[in-house]
Amino acid sequence: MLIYIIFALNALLFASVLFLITAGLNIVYGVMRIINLAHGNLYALGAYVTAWVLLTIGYSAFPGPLLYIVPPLIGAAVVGLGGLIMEPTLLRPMYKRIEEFQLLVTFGVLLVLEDLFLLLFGPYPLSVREPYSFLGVTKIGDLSYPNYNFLVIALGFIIAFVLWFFLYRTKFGTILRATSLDREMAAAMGVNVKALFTVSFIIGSMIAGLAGGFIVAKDTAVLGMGIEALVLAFVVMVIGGLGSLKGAFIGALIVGVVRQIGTAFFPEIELAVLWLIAAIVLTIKPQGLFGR
Amino acid sequence: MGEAGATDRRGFLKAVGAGIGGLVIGGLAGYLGGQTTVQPETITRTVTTTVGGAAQTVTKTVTVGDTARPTPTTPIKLGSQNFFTGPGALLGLPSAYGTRMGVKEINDAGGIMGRQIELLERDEGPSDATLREFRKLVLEDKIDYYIGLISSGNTPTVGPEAEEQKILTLFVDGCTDILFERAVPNPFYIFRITNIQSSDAITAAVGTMKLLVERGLIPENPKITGIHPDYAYGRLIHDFYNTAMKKMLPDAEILDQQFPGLFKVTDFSAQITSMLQQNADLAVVSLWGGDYVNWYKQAIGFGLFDKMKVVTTLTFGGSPQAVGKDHPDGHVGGVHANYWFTNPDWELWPVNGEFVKKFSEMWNEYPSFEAEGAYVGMQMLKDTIEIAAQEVGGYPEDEEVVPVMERYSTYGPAGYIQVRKQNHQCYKNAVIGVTGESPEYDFEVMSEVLVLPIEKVSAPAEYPTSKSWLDSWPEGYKP
Repeated sequence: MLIYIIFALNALLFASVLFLITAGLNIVYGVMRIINLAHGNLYALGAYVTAWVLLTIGYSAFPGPLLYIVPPLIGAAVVGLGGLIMEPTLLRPMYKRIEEFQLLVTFGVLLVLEDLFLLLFGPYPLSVREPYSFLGVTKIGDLSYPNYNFLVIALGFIIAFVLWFFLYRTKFGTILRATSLDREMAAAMGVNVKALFTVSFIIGSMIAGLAGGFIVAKDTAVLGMGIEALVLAFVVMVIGGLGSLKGAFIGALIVGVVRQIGTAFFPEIELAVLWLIAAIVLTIKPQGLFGR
Repeated sequence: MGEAGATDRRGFLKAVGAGIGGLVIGGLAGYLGGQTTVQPETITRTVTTTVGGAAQTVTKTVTVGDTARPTPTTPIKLGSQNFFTGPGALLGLPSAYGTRMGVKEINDAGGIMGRQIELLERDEGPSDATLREFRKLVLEDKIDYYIGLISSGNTPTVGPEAEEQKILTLFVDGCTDILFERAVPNPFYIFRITNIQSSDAITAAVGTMKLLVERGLIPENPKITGIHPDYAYGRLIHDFYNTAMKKMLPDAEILDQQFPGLFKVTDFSAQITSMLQQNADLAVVSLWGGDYVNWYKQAIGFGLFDKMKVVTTLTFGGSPQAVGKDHPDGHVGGVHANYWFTNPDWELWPVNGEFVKKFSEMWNEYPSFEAEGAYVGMQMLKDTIEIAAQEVGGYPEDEEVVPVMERYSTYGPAGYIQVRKQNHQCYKNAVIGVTGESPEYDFEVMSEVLVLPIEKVSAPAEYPTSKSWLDSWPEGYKP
């Protein structure tokens, strides 16, 4: 029976990671109407930078809880800086062009980043172990559950709450939502749309970078990890709905639970089950469960 | 390095020396006169042939007459593909390092019959991309020979193409039995250096018996779970390992096992929990590269290594340094049934000691089995071309090298290795061991190495398939 608690925690863990990746993608799409194919590699960049910081500077440079805060924040900051460069230079010229251009540009960035990782960090996976093992495990009956996973689950919920608060309880959030509804009207009302787009892109990128920074202690930073993340994020977006924060949250939970059930009871068709759900949602409600 | 190549080396070097001299003179004459020729020299040499997979040899004297063909003056173009990126690079890069080291040594010693080797490296990836790059190497770059490939998903794709393009090909890995049983059942141009996959699975099963069951570490009726990559390699390991275990221990219970996509999953929490749920005594794991690193790290967190014994085919598949000291001790770790760098003992078998020393000096890491295989592959290519040249009296065509390669055997860093003519597959004694720590190394090592005679864990040539041999085992049979 206790094993089902572990199953539930696993589902939450996977959902948390997916939400962190998809939330950023959704913010960017919601405000800017751009599907950023490079988003998965922004997540990977966060993972690489965090791993590199830990491996280069060393764990001892971050005493106590700082080990779990500073390196991922450095990863997120570097990704945010990347977003600050990428939005005005590569994306802004594309806003008035057809969507295929945006897809091509962001896909190009994805490929460039993949080669950049190879150049900067080498071909081997970067593996950091200590932050994961230092936290120990929680005993659930005679089973163990890594405490670090609780941290990742908590992060997902914290970021979800912060984003909700930011979008629905602050003036900036209201402006952001208004702009996503009607760009021209917002501009006519005096909103600096260009700056808003840049800030939105930085926020979306930083969330992805933060997710990568936290995940790398549990997994590894490895070439190709961003593409895998991007594919799963699209499944979540299809189920939850494009541009919807609530959709990202619920979609991530659905995917997390379904994958867990699929792995436990139908291991042969684990991934197929996810695609099947996405196909059903697309058929019944093409805009997703919470899409506009 | 080769047994055959070692015989009458002085006479052979004399011939090569004469060939190089002839090349210089002939090259100059060709430059001036428009035609390059090498004057043939009549020599005799002894060729040793291994017969029937046993250490039995036949020796004959070959006289090279005056029908010699000129050695081309152009460098040899050697195509090579390995995983240079992604989770597979843990295995692919050491293979590339072994190839490059072999190429450098050969070039430094004057090349093959005076021809320098130009190495053209391309990335290995999914089957379609790998095949595309292979075709480009053949059709655009006009390679003469080919060496490489890691994945069992790729050799059955590239193998038939190599046969069609008539390219002498040495697969370093991509060990699946499917290659020579179904994809290319009558190979001519392709050979494979690594031990065959069925031997890998059976070595893991026999290793389980000798290192765990016979020591009372798991019961004689173990419940066996497992996790394997979802492609040819993982599926075959699952099939062969569990069949072998059921033959050896008829009361063993094979539980449902996990098949995540190769390099498609980084979070294995769900799979690990499912394995824990089964209350197994033993987990058989054939994940490799970055997948294995992720899996074992997360499995430690879930306490899986405390709940059951683990036997793997590829814990030590990549660079030895890739597995940290956090890896649990006392489990059974595999090297694809091939080679672990401390075995054979460096003092007892200096060929290995010298190889490890040279490799680690060149690459700042210890060699993996892929590195050893690729290095031996380069020596194999050189030896067989040169022996064939002696036999035919000039630079040989691929069709003339193949018969030499079919009877080739040598002593490499891992020990004795031989080619089986029937399936163009190399065989050497299989290796597996116990995971542990050593004060000499800052990474997890094989603290105890178990070497199994290859004939105990591989199908004899008379069996049409490895599975048919495995199926013929009587119940309770223990190799």
